[in-house]
Amino acid sequence: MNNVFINHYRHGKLVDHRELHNVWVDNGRKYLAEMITETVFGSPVREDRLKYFGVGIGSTRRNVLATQAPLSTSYPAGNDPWATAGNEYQKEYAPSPDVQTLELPVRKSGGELAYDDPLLSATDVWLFEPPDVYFTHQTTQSVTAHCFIDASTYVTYGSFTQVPLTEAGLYTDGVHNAGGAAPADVAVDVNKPYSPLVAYVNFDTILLDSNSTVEFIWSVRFAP
Amino acid sequence: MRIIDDIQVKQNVYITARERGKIVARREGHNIFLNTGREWLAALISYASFAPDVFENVDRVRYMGFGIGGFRQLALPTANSSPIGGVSDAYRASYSQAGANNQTDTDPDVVQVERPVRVTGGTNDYPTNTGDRWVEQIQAPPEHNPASTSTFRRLFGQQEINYSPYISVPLSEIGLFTSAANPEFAFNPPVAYDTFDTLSKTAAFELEVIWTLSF
Repeated sequence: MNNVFINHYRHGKLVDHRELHNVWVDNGRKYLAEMITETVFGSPVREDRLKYFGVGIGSTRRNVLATQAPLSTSYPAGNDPWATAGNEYQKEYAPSPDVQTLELPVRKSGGELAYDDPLLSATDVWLFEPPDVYFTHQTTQSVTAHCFIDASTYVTYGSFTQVPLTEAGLYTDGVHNAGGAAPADVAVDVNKPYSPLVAYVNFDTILLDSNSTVEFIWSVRFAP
Repeated sequence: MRIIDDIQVKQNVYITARERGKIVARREGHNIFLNTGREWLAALISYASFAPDVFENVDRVRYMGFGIGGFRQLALPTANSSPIGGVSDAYRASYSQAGANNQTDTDPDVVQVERPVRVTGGTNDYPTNTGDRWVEQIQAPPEHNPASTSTFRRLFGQQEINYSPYISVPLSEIGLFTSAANPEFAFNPPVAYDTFDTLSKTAAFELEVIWTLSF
């Protein structure tokens, strides 16, 4: 059963609709296992909930546009945890490599420098957050994330006139303990490109330009 | 290859009875993660609102409790006769269910342990609660080995569950509860549930329960 639905609008008209499977990655499984427990009674191991959403141009479905300037200059391959070639992540077999982040994340807004520029990274925004993202319960046993990306404002800006989206991720807000410092595999920072995600999906290219808006509807369901 | 739509919550329950340290009985089974648990998980990983961020649910797994209900009860005469059941019944349901030992561990609609038994307390009929303890805390912290699992443990001592006049209590069901449960209330909603072939608890035994949830 599909759980990720993508609607692509151009000039306000629906031009593409996708229905996909996601993968709940190992980091997400660890998140759930820790989330239901307490270190001591009254002290939960984690206090982070689903909050952020990110998109990228990597994965096995990577479009050739992602390998050309200006995208290849600003979003070069090899900066993810596995130093991949930018076209290796996939939802069908997430353990190889073990998907922990997006492969080639793109900014929501900010500049155009290559990944993790020490001067400008604090002003770049890599993840969508509320109110651009909101969550509902379509059933009482599921959580559904809704993210609406208006490409006239976000993702396509400056020299990024066309951005071929091919991957997306769902994130918590990465708070490990109440007031405690989060480990690297937990901490989520909207100002950095490679935060740990809990769910991942890749798909054939959705080509964004300034006339595009894209709606993601992503359900997380629990089986008996 | 893994293509995951629904997050599969797999469970394993191990119940070991020991007499003076020696294993005298063991039950192993897969239980069911109930709809109540699925609803709890969906709420647990969600915010109710943002800016300020407000948690939708803050409950974590904290309690275990036994019962004598469920379809795998093999000692119905004992379970249904005095002092445990029967006319002067302390444990035969008069609270919200007939207690007819109908519940299975394949039905996610289960909302309570069918015929819960006290861990400690008195002998009154349901729903008298004052001073009774129907569920008890697990040991903390739980284990995460491997990282995508949570293992909860609880040791039920010799004098727990069975106490005068309940010399032998034919246990056949068990529930896992969150911190929202009221230990002095008999019919809390479990998040996970299992039935098993009758294991009669007497004062000679200790029961070790190891309950693993895998994601």
